[in-house]
Parts: sequence; C-alpha cells; structure tokens
Amino acid sequence: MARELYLYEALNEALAQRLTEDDRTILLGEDIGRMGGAFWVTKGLQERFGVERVRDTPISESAFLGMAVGIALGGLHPIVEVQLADVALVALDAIVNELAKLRYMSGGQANLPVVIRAPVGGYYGDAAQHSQTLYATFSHFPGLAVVVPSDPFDAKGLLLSAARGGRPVVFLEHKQLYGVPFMQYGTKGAVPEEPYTVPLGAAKVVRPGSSATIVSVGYGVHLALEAAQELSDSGFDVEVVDLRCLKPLDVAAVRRSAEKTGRVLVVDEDYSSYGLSGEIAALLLEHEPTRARLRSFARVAIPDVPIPFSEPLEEAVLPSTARVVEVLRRWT
Amino acid sequence: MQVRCSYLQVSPEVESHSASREIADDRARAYLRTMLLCRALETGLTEAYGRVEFRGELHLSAGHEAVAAGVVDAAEPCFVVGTHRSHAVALSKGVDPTALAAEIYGRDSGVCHGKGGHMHLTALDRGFLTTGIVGATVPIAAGYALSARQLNLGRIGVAFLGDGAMNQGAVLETLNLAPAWKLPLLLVVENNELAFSTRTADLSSIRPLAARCRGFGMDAYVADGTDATVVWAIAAEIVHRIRAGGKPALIEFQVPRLSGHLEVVDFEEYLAEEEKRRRVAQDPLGRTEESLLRAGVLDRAGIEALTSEVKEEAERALEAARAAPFPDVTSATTDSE
Repeated sequence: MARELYLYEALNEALAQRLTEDDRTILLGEDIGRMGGAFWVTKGLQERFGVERVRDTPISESAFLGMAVGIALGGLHPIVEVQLADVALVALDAIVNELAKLRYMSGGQANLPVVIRAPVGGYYGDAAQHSQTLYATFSHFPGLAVVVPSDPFDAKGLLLSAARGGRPVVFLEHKQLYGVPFMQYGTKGAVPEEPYTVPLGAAKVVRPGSSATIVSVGYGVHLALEAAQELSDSGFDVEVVDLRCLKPLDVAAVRRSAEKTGRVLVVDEDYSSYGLSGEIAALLLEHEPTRARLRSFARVAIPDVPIPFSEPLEEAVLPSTARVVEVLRRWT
Repeated sequence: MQVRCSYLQVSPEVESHSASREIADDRARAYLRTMLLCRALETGLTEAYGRVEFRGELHLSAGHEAVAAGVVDAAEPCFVVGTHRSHAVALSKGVDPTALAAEIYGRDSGVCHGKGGHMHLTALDRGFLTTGIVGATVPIAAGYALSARQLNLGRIGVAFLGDGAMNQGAVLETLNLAPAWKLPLLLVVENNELAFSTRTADLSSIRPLAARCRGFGMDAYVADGTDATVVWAIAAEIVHRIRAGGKPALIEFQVPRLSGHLEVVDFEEYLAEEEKRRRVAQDPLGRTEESLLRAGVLDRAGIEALTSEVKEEAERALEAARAAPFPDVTSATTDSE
C-alpha cells in the first residue's frame, strides 16, 4: 500500500529533499528553526541542515523579504516562510516592487530563484487579519508565479517544481489542509518517497462530470468535492477543476471544462471584488467558442467585508459546502 | 599621493579618528575623471531633458560624485545597490556611459534594453543595480552580503541610501539584523540634508543620523564626502574593518545636493539663495581638484585637458544614445514570464 502523509509532512519532505539535492538552497523565516514553523512544515530541518541553512528571522518581514532578493543575486536559493500570508502585506514593497519586477526591469538580467511560502485561509476563528488567502493580491502583479496545492501529493511535487524553477514563486498553503492537530480538516494522501515534480500551470480535473463545472483551488477544492458528492444522488454530475496554480493559469483546462458542461461556478476563498471569480468569468467570455456554450455562471466567494471573528458570522461569509450546494441546486 | 583623512566614529563609541594613506596617483586621477565625466554627462542630460528628448524623472548625482568614486573603489570587489540618484555610482562601478545614456533615452542598447530607465539601472556583470524605492537598497545589499559570506565570494554588499531613507522601516529592520548576522555589509548614507524638499533635521531628534546605529550595535561613522581621495581613504579603513572583523558598518557622508530633487522642480523653490551658494562652494569637483593640485598629481592644464576629454566622451555617449533605435515593441511582453 502506498505511503500516506499529511500535507505538512509532504512539504517537509520536499524541503528536505531540496536542501539535500541543492547545497545553495537555504530556508529563512519566523520560528522555522527550533520550533519547526508555526504549522510544522520545517520540523527537524534546522537540526538536520544547520543554522546557516535553516535560519530563524526576526519579525522583520520588510528586511528578510528584501534580503531574499539580494540573497538570490548573491547565488543562494532562498525559500522564505512568511508566518501568515496576511503579514506578507507588511513587506509588499519587497515582494512586488523588488522581487517580482527586477527581472523585467533589468531587461532579463536578474533571474531570482526565490520561493515565498505562506499559510493562508480561515475556518478557525482567527478573524480579519489572520484568515485571508490573498489569492488575487499575489496573482495581480506581473512577475510572480502563484501556487496553491490542495493535496499532499501535489504539495510535494509543486514545491519541488517551484524550488527548481529559478523564478520567483509565491506558494500558498491552506491551513486547514496541513493536517496539523490544531486545524480540524487535513487528511493524509499518498506521497511517493522519491523526489518528483508536478509542473506549474497545469490544472487537474479532480472529479470528472458533465452537468456543471466547479473551478477552485486549495481548501475550496474540498468544499467543491463535498458539494458534488451531495448532488451525485440526484444525477447532477459535477466536474471539479483544481487550478493548482493561479499563475500561470491553465486557461485551456478551464475553457475545456466550461465548454463541456456549459455551467461554471467559481469557489474562491477570497474577496469576490476584483478577484479570481471575475477573472475566470472574463477569460470564459473573451473566448467566443466558450461564450457560445456558456449557459450559467456563478461565484461563491467572500462578500466585500473583512472576515469576522464570531463563528456564525465567519460561516456566513466564507465559502461553504452549503453555499456551493445551493448554487448547484438552482442549476439542477 | 598621501591622503590625510579624519572622521568621527559615532557607534559604538564616539571617537575621532585620523589616518594617512598612500593612494596611487593614477587612481586619484581616475576618480576625478569619473566625476568630471558624470558631471558632463548630467549637464548634457539636463539640457536634453529640457528639450524633452526623453521622458520620466531625472535625479542628478551632482554633488554626490566624490562619495561614489571613493567608496566604490575602496569597497571592490563588491556588489552595489544604488538609489534613484545613481549616475555617479554607475559610472564608478564601470557601467559604460553610452549604455547608461541609452537606457535614460529608453533605447534598446541601454543597460536594461529600455525597460528600467533612469531609476532602475541594472548591470549585473558589473555587480550593480539600483531601485527607485527609497530604503529598498539596504535589505537587498544585506541579502547579497549573506550569500557572499556563506559562499565565500570574497565580496561585500554595499548599499547607498539618502538621509530620507534612514527613516524607512526596511532600513531600520536591517540595521538591527545585519550586526546580529555579522554580514559583510557597508551602508553609505549620502546626507544632503534634503528629502525632496523636506529638511531631514526637522523630522528626527537624533543627530547625526548615524548615531542611531548605537541602538542597533552597528559600527557607524560620519565624515565629509566632498573630496574623493579622502572618501576613499576613510572607506578603505572601514572596509578593511568590515572584511577583517566580519561585521557591517555605516558611513554617513555629508554632501551637497547641487540640484533640485529632480529636474522639473527647481530647488530655488525651497532653498534660500545663501544656502544654494553654500552648497555650490562645497562642490566635490572643486574640492577634489584642489586636493589633486595640492599633491601635484595634476596641474591646471592637466585638469583642463581632462575636462575637455570627458566632455567629448559625454557628448559622444549622448549622441550615440540619441541615434540608437528604440526597442522592438514585441519586447514589451518578454522577461516577465
């Protein structure tokens, strides 16, 4: 029987294998050393690879994310953990104005092999400043790849691809999927022991169907699968497309599924305004063959409010299986 | 020639230093040449800008040239991250003046093929880049220093920053971290007392700016930055300490900015005539020339010959830039995939 790991263990294995295969890779981040990271992803790595290669940073995101650019220019390959995606906003200049733009601004001179890893997402009562995914925020700026794994197998393969790719990547890991005991959801999945890669920019149909398409990433894929399962008895056959990467975005895969089913629902754990759902709608409408076959479009995303603390309020704004089912039932 | 220099250490202790160093005459002449070339190039650029021959902003190095020439040579081998005001640093780092001018003109033969422009000059083959975000130079150079130490590159990281940048969070965060990580890093503050139009002294109660390094355990020094040979001598002393001691340092050089913040806002708007005259009297070109004359490295005729030689070189660079083709528009969407 295939070996099964939690997602945080799969990421830990990817990092260990990258540190082993590439002696220029170093890890930086808050509490990643002795503690092994807030979500256990770097557990044991400092002990194994030393304090020079697995470095605890102060709570100075502007400094250490700005430094990542210089570290890459100097020849090391930094993989930087930001404790939560929300706090990366403190260092948006380093990420957006420096890291993302330098290759372009320099006319192609600067190749920056930098991976920024960040836990994202809500569903555990951490309120407005600690629950965001910021999927659209990171995907908005040119110059960054944005990756969101939804299961342990993809997590390991995508992280190795990101680390080997030689370009800036923002790697967003949903807290509910890690499998750490203080988050309720995470499940194990089969993960090969040897290093392998999953290419960036290739979506995956995780559930084939013909009645409607759900497009999502990360934890949203799991909500989509649950909803699809709930409707399966009624004969409404939902296809679920896991984008896996927000950038590069596998537009062809989304259009293919949309043309097959004629109905598209985007499940996005991010604000609905100016986000993934609007982007997908535009990409479907801009393409005449897809537009001709598209009968319905809907989105389940966060309304234009910060994420509230109280449990029923949080449930009211974050995407849920119930909200997904409600949309799909309208289409049956 | 023999160079005598004096400077004030302000962190960790307050202590006056003076030193005497021998500098090869050729190098002293080369500093003056680079400074004159930069001034000639910027004079030509300012005229061309007035004729709207290129677009964007234009921040001149005029007044800062001695710091660029002296520090860069003292710090080599090094990787330099410069500010929005970096023409002199670029030329001191060996960036080709024609490619520099062509970038400012947005031409394909520019150092960044026209994609960066005057504020985003990158020449990685020379170990040089700039960023237009005030203060962002510092963490980038610190990161380079970390790699340099870990990979034994034998290089140090150098960041230039202005007095205004000393109040940026990213800079203060790096002042904290660089000594803790013992980074081979030199921070060069070009203090021209003005952040655009605002007097830095009005907005900080700590003077000199470098004194705040005491709170971070970072070695820091203050010195005059108008004679390139003196700048070199001071920087050489401190770079030696960085290399030998395995720890970072900051030098705050006093320099006069001889122009507006950028060449559309004349600084008469916020500087009294008297202060403008004081600044002109501190022109590093004059100060460095005097120093070379005194040492007998050059005579008046020699300086005149050098001045007309670089004037021609600057004109050739500007003409070549003007004549060079723009990039093919298909390149607008490359280098970002």
